[in-house]
Amino acid sequence: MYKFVIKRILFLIPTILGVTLIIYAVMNITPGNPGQAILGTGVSQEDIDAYNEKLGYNDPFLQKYVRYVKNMIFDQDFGISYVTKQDAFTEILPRYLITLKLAFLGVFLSAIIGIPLGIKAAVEQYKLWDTIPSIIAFLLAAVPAFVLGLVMLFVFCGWLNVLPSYGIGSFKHYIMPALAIAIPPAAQNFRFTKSSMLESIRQDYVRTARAKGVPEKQVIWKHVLKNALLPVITQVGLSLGTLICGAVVAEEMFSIPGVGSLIVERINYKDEPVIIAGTILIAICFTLVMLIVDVAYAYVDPRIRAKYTKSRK
Amino acid sequence: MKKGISLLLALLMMTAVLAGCGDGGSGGQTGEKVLQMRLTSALQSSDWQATTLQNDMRITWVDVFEGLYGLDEANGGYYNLLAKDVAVSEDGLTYTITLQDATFQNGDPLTAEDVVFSYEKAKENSRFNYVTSFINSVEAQDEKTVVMHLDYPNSAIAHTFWTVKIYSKAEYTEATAGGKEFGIAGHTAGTGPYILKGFDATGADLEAYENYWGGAPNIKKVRYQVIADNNAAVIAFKNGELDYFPDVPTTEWEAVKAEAGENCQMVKANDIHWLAVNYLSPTNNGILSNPKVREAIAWAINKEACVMAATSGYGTPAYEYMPHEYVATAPDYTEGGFQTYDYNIEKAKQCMLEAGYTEADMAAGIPVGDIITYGDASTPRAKEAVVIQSNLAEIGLKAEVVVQEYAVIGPRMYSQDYDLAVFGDVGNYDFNNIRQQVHSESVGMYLINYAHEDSPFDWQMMEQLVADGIATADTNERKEIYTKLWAYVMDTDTILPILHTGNGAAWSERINVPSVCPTYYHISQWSWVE
Amino acid sequence: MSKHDKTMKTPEFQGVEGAPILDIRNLRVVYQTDLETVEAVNGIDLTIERGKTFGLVGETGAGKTTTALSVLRLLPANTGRILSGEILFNGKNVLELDETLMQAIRGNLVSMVFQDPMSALNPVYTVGEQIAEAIRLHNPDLTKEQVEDRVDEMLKLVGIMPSRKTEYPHQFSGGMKQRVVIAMALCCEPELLIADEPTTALDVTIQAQVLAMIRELRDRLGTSMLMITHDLGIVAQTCDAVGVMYAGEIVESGTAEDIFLAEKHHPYTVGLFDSIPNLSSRTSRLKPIPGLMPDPTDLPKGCVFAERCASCMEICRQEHPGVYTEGTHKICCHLFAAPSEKEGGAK
Repeated sequence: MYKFVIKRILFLIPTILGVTLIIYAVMNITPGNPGQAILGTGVSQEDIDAYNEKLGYNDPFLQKYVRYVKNMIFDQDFGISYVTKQDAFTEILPRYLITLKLAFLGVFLSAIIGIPLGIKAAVEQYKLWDTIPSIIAFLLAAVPAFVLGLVMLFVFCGWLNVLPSYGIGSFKHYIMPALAIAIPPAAQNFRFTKSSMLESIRQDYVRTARAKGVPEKQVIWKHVLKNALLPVITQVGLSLGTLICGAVVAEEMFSIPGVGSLIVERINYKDEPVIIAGTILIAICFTLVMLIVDVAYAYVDPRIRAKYTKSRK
Repeated sequence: MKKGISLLLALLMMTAVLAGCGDGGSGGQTGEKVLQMRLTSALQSSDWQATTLQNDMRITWVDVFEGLYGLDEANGGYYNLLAKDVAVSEDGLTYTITLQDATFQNGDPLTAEDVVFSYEKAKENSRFNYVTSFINSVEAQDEKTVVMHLDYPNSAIAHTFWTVKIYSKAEYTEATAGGKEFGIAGHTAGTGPYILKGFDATGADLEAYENYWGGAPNIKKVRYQVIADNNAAVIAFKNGELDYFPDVPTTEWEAVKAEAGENCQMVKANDIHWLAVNYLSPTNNGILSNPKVREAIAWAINKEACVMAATSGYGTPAYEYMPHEYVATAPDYTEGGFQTYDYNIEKAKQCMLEAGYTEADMAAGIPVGDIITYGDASTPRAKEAVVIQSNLAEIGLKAEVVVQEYAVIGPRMYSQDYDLAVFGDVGNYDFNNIRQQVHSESVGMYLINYAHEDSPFDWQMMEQLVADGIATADTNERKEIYTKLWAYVMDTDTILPILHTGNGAAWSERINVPSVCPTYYHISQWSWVE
Repeated sequence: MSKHDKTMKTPEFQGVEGAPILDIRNLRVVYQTDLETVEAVNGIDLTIERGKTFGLVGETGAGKTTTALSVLRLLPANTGRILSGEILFNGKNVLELDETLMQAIRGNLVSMVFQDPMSALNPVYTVGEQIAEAIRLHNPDLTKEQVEDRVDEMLKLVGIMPSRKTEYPHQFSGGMKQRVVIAMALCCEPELLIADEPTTALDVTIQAQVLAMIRELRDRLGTSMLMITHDLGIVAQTCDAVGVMYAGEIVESGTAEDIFLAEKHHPYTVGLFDSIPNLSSRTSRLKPIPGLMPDPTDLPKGCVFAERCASCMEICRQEHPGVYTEGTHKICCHLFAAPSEKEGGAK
């Protein structure tokens, strides 16, 4: 098992190198440059070129890439932002933690709303606990996060004035943005859990359990749930990726100083160090989460575990 | 069953409880009142040289730092700020400046050394080449006197005096010891009425400088909060969490006005949206090189319609490059002296006929190329482009509207790779800035290349007028010269002004705001309502 | 644990002394969906004496599994409905009991072994746990060690090394899995074991082993058994009494001798025997019964076998046949039932 984990962590290295290369390549191809974006109109072309030259922006992109990677590995230096001239890593880290907080809160909410309702709907199939949440989920799965955010903004903030519209001062500030990004995945989780449950309930071993005299509640909780939740775990882990992206929208709308909005902002300035550092951090987070999901899966499902451990008694 | 319901209820209850507790966000602690202001994104830097966004400059260029001159938008000119007195030599090449008795926020007195130092720093920055390139040297004659030598007479140096802010040399040098960057944290290196205590991704905090040479401001504490989304800002204003709301989005103006009552004002913005007509465009056999065609285009533009479409009616049709109300030396269309155009389809059609096109040609449609602009479909310029497209169609000219991001459109405009372009310019306080558009040395800044080898225009004359304009310091003389220049430009029909946008500001009943300017507000002039 | 009359011991369940272990009377079961009604079991009578094994024979779709599920009331909740009839377990009508009592009976007094061992076990729990679960459920006052001991005992009983109880189902072969299922079914020493085609999914050699094991356990524990199968060979080896089921009805029943050796038979039974290939004689073609079982959503009037019967008469299509009785042998066919001896009504 440990070998498997170590191998996956080692995979992070080519991932990071790849991400960096891709971003540099893309930045190289797309139009625009920091000088122009920062200095704006009213500055001559020479001055813009001089500015870019000073930043090291005009070097060929492979050279920039190699330089960046070298700095990253040997000096743990993620570069200086072209825009604010601050150390990219220092600039990003606090914002990154905020986005993570938001994204994880979103994952948590989407799981806690979607999964229990999904279980309930499967157990009470065709009855009220099934039909009403199903209809709502059907509608909400299609509503984009920013629409939800806007509606919540107007209702809770403009009309009722019970929640703040910007910032990150207290827990209150996280509620709306977290809900906004959590609701579409929650609807997905609901439908996915329900179908997984229904499939598990049909399995023969459930009939065996009932034939043993296991009370119905225990049949669900002990026999069905463990099997049904396996694919749901993977789904929830994957949704973290969606949520980190969704967090960008929420960050913009609710003025949350997260890394998503930072990256988007800096793309216009072609602030390569910040963009790369931010993206790498997100990639690391995502990879680690998928690793945890896989390990959890193996932990719960003995058939998968056997594949990884390959130990015979 | 029960577990599901109880879980849900628990969640709802928790949310309600947490939402309920807390003070509803007006920042109303006992003790000092804090002025609530808005930033749209985190402050870029506390160094005036590094701030390029208008919201940031409003803080660093007005509250924190000061230059030799201040800017008086309402009256279109500059006024003495850190320069107590300015004497110009006969030949206009030497400026002798006597400094105010001012102190920096760190307590040190303002000395000539600080001014010399600051101008050195500004000269190193290519962004300010435009205002520093003609300054040969800056010397400290004594503690309180600075002498500047120019390469040639330039009355537009007033703009330089406004632009270049004065650092405390001691503090700046200390902060940058060891290769560190200045401006990444709060500091006391300016002379302005407010000290920037600190800033981060959520906002910035200012505190009144009690020993400000101009007298301590009434409002002692200011909190700038980052509110990225306009909707959130409107809601914050409604909830009393925002005291001053500048640049109110035009779509929200009515709602905000209703909320603010008397405490709001819509003024003409100090900007200009204009149509650039590239006479060098090869499209359709160089149709735009035909002066009659260009004139037809000028008559065809429906400025009122543009105002309605782009600014919901809050803008004003434009005839000048810079609003004469804000720029003292700008040509004034009310006084005549140059061609002005208003929507006149008959005259436009007449010009087309004179250009050699028939009614049949116009009915069939004459391609004239693309109207490009930057931003996205919702920006005012894009809407103006669409209106102009339909205006052109009325006289038989077919054009496509292309809207893309600045990174793509910018280079095209500055290299004259376009047919028609809607451009927006802002932040012009001295008519000399027209140099950017009409002088051959402004490569990468102008949209029309008047000095091209195929140019039919008397660009040398234009450049001479530009030079004359800065050779004299007399405002009226300058205005005359610029009027002649602008008249010529208007005759070329290459720069066609469209509109000035409207800029609305609103404020809460907690403060008194004596006047509203389109660009820079002065918190030091406001006061709490008692 | 010594064997004694469990029913009397279980306080909630007071059976009637001396009654046959299972007595099904006129059971009707349908599957009801929005679109149609499937008439699965249409009035069957079935009696199993204590300690005896009853073989329920028939083709796929005859209603055998439905009957078995009805005894334990494990029909699918949405669609299965028991319309009428009684199922008397030790004289007590199971259909009147509440769910808690049913749960006390399932796995404890009446156990079931299903057809497909591959999916009958929960893949995420060890086999030891799954057997232990059944034990703990019905013997709550046993200590952990006692439960584990019992698990080991059961595994030994079915021929699996107790050390394998920490392994997962996917680590066992099909035959082994079925043994585990049987161990699970027998661990609480039920009065009645319902085995629904327990060896059909296994290959022939394993089949013999598992059957032998079942027989041995039955003999040792004195368990009554309802053996459902379509294989007459298994019936011959294992069963004391037999019922032949067709389209939801028992068309012939009796002792094993009655079914195998008597002269008179229901035409369907004849067809079943005829279709068994003979090892000794050479045949070029098999002799199946022509036709298919009738559509259970649309059963014919009269005798259900009429369509396929070689000896079909006019009356067979009109009237449902009565039961012809000869001692323990009962045949439901117009060939034998004289009009005056008719019992049971037309449908």
